[in-house]
Amino acid sequence: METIKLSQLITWLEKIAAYMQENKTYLTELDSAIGDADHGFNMERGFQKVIGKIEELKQSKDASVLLKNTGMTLISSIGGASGPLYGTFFLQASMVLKDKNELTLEDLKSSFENGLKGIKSRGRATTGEKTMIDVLEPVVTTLITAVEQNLTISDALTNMLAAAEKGMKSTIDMLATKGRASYLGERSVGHQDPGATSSYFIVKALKESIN
Amino acid sequence: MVSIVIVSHSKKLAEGVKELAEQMSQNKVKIAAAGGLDDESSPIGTDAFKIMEAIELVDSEDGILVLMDIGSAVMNAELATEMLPEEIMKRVLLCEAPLVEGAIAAAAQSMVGANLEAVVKEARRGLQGKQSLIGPQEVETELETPILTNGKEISITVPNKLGLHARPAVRLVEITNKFNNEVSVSVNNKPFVSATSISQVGTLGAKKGDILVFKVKGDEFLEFEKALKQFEFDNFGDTKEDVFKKEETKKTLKVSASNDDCIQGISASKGVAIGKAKVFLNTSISVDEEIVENSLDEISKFQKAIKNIISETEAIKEKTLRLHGKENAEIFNFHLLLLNDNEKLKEVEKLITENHFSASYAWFKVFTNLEDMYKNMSDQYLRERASDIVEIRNKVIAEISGSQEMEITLSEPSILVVNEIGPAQTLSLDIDNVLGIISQKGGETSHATILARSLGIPSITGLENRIDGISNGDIIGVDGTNGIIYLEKNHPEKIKALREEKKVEEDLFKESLSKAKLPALSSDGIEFQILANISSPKEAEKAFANGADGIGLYRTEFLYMNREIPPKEDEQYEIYKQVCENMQGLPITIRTLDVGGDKPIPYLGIPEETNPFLGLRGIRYCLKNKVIFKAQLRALYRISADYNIRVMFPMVGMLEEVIEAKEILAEVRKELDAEHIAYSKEMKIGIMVEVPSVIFILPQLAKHLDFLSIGTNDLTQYLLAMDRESTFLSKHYSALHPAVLNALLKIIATANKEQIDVSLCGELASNPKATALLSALGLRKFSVSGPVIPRVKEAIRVMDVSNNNKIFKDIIACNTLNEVEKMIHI
Ligand SMILES: Nc1ncnc2c1ncn2[C@@H]1O[C@H](COP(=O)(O)OP(=O)(O)OP(=O)(O)O)[C@@H](O)[C@H]1O
Ligand SMILES: [Mg+2]
Repeated sequence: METIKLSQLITWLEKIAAYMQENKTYLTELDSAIGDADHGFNMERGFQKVIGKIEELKQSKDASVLLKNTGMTLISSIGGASGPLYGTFFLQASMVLKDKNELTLEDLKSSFENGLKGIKSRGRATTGEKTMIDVLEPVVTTLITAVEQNLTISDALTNMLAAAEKGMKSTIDMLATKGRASYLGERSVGHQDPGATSSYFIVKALKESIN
Repeated sequence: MVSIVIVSHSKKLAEGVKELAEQMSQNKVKIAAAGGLDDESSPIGTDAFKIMEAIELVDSEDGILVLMDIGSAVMNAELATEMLPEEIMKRVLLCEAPLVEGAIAAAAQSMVGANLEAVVKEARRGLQGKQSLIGPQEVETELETPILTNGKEISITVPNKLGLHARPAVRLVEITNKFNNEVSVSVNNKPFVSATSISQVGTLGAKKGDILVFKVKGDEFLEFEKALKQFEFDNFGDTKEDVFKKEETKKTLKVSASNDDCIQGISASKGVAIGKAKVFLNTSISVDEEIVENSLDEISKFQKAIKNIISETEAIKEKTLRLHGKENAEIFNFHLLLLNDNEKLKEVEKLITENHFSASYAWFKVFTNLEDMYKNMSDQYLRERASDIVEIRNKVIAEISGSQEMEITLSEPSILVVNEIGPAQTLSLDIDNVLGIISQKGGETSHATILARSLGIPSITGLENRIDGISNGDIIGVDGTNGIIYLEKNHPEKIKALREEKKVEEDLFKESLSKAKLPALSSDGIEFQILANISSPKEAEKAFANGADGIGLYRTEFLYMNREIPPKEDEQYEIYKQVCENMQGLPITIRTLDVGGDKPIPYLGIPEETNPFLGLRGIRYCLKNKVIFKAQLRALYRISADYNIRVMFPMVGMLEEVIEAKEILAEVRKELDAEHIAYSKEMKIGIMVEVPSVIFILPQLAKHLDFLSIGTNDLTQYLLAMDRESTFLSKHYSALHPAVLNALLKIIATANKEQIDVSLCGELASNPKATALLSALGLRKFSVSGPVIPRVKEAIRVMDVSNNNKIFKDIIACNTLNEVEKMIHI
C-alpha cells in the first residue's frame, strides 16, 4: 500500500520552513492590514527553530515523536496566536501516530482531523471566523472524502491543495470574529487572513514533498 | 497565600503590573511576570514555556491565579497549564479579569489569606471601583449568589434574653464577615438566609433558646466555629444590664390607670420633667410611584446618596463614640449595616433598572416593605427596630431629593413633642435644653429610647394621637417612670406634686451615689483605691456614678479615631475638661496617644510594619511626631491649671524615651510661660509598665517619674511573646501565668523600695477573683472598667489582707498557670 515515509515528513517540514522564509514579508504584510504585523516573523522564527533541530528530528523513532517534537518547538518559539495553535495542531496530530513509521492516507486523515480538533478547541473558533480554520477545515473534509473514495495519496493532496486555496481566498470576504483582526470589526473585511495563508503554504509544502 | 502570575505580550507591562500588585500587597503575595519573548529583534509575544516556569516559580498550595492580556496570552496560558504536572495544574486558575485592575484587586485579597475562589471573585470585580467613578456604567448583572444550603454545620443556642435583635445581629454579621467562608443561617427550619446580610439575619426573629443553624463552606470553618461559640458564651454581646433595664421598664407598663384626662403612654426612660412643650409634628414621609426613563442617572443618584448617608452616619457614630461611649455608638452599626446591605441595595437597583422607578420611590418601596416586616415581627425588640429603618429610609430619600430633614432646634429648656425621633436626631439635640422627650411612635427598646435613657432624659413613647391636644408653650409634666403626661392647665395640682417628686428623686439619686462612693476598706481596715478605665467624658460620668475613686486610665486615642486630621489643642482641652468636670475633682490619669499596633489611624501616617506590635507604637510614635505630641501635651498642661491630672506615657521601654519626653514637656512649659498661659508645675508624670525591659531598669526610671501603672494586657503579651489575639496560643495567654506574677511582684517590690506610686490597670484587675491575689502582691490601687467597680469594691470589703498574704504566700512559686488558677479558684 502507498504510504508517506518519515523522510518525506522531514522534507515537508523543510519545505514549510522555506515557504515561511520566502513569504515572510508577504505574511507580515497581510498581518499588518488586519493584525499586528508579526505573522511572517512568527512563522519564520518557528520553523527556523524546527530546521535547527532537523538532525535530531530525523532520529525520531516514529511519526508521533517527530510531530510531537515539532509541535513543542513551535510552541516555544512562535510567540503569537499561531504558536499555540500550530503547536497544538502538530501535538494533536502526533497523538494518533504512535509507532507509525509510515503513514497511510487514513493515518494522514486522522492526524489532520485530530490536529484540527486541537486548534478549534484551543482557539474556541470555527469556520467562517476568518482564521486558519477556514483553510484547515475544508482540507480535512477533502481528506475524509478521499479516504472514502479510496483515492491515491497524490490525488488526495491535489484536492486538498485546491480546497486550501479556496479556503484561503474565502477569508477575504469574511468578517473576523476571532484573533486580533476581530478588533477591527467591519474593517477586517476585504483582506486575506494571514493565518489562513500560512496554512495554505503548509498544505502546499506537504503536496510538494510527496510528489 | 494565593499567588499570581501576570502574562502579557510585553515584558515591561508584565513587570510593571507585577510591581503595582506587589506594592499593593506589601510584597506578601508571590507574584511572577511572564511577559514578552526572549528575542531581541521581536520582543513582543507570549511564550507558553515562560508562563509554565512562572507558575512553577510561585506555585502555592493555596492556588495560583493567572491573569493575562489578549489573544495568544490566553491560549498559551492554557497550554502552559496543560503542560504542568497534574497536582500543580489542579490549583491553577486562569482568570479573564482585566490585567491591571484584576492583579491589584487579587493581590489585595490574597494578602489577607483569602482562598482562591475569593481572590478570583475580587479580581473579577476589579473594574467596579473605576466604574463607579467614571460612569455611565452598565448595571451589574452579576447573578445573585445562591444561598448555601449544604456545607458543614454549626449550631448555637441564642443565649440572650432579647434574642437575635439588632445589635447581636450586627455583631453576628460582623463575625461572619471576619472569616473567609460562605455562610448561611436558619432558625426553626425556616429557609436559610445569607449570614452576611443584616436585613436577612435581622428578620430571622430568633428568640432566646432558639437554635441557630449555620451552614458553612470555606477554609476558615474552625476559626469561625470558635468565634461563634465565643459569641454564644458572651451572651451575644448583650450585658446583663440590658436585661435588667428591660424588666424594669416592663414593670412600669402595668401602670395603666386611665386618670381621666391625663395622658398615658409607655415609659421609655425614667424620671420626672416639668417644662414648656415644644411641638415638632411632621406628616410622615411618603413617596409616589414615579417612572424615570434614564435608569443610569437614577442609579448613580442613588449610589451617591447612599455613599453620603454612610459617611454622615459614620461621622455621627464617631461623635457618639467620643461623647457617649462605645455602647451608644454601636446603635449606628445597625444603620451602617442597613446602608451597606448588598441584598437590599441590589433590590433597589433592580427596581430602578427593570421597573424604571425613580431612585426615591424604589428605595421608599424596599424600605417600607422592610419596615412593615419589622413592624409585624412577633418579637417586641425587633418590632421596635422599625423606627431605625424609618430614620434611614427618610434620610436617604431626603438626600436623593436634596431636601432637608426636619431639624429640631431648641432655644430654651423644653420638653420635646414629636411623632417619632431617630437616634441620630436624638444625638443632634442640644441635650442641655431637652428636659424630656415624648413621642407618638417608638418603643421601650427603640434606639432613640436607649439613647434617651443613657443620657438620663425622661421619656414617654407610644402615645399615638393622644398628644394632639398639646400645643407649643403648654406647661406639661412628664412622669417618665409611670409613662404619664399631665397638662398644667388641666392638672395644676399634679404638676405641683411632680415638682416635689422631682426633688425627692434628686435627693435619692444623691444618696445612692454617695453609697457607691464609700471607700473600699478591707475587713482588716486596709484602704484600696478603685479607679476607672475610660475613653470618653460619658464614660467618666458613668464611672463617677459607679463610685470610682478617680480615673486610672483615660485612653485618649479615641479622640483621634474616625477622622481626617488630628484633634486640635482646643478641642482636646474641651474634652479633657468635660472628663474632669464629670469626675468632680477626683484625680485623673490621662494616657497620651497610644497608636500603632492594632490601632491604625490613617492620617497619622504610621508606616506598614511587619511587626506593628514591636514597631512605632505609643510613646515611640509621639517622640517621632512632635507636632501631634505637643498639641496634646499643651492641652494637658492647660488642664492641669484647674484640675487634678496626671500624665502617663504608653509603651515606654527605656530611660532614653522618658528623658526625651520630659524634654518635650519642658519645651511646652516654656512656650506656655511665654504665652502667659497657666498650668501646674506639679503635674505628675508616669509611665505604663507594659514593655518587659522596664522591669529591669525601674530604679533608674523611678528617679525621673512620679508613678507607674502596670498594664497587664500588653505586659503579658510582651513578656510571654504571645499575640493576645492568637487563637492557637490562647490556652496559655494569661496574666496569671507564673512568669507574669513574678514580674508583677518584682515591679511592686521595686516601686515600694523606690517609694514610687504604683497601680495596676488591665483585665486582671477587673476580675474580682484576682483581687485577693493582687492585694497579697502588695497592690492597693486598681483601675478597672466602670461597671465592675461596685463588684471589686464589694470583693475588697469582705476580704482580709493579712489572711490573703498567708494564703498566697507561695503563689509565686507555682509552676504552671494551671496551679495558679487552682489556687484562686478560677
Ligand atoms: N482564536 C483563534 N482560532 C483560530 N485561529 C486564530 C485565532 N486567533 C488567531 N488565529 C489565527 O492566527 C493568525 C494570527 O497569527 P499571529 O501569529 O499573527 O498571532 P497574533 O494574532 O499576532 O497573536 P497575538 O494573539 O499574540 O497577538 C490569524 O490570522 C488567524 O488565522
Ligand atoms: Mg499577528
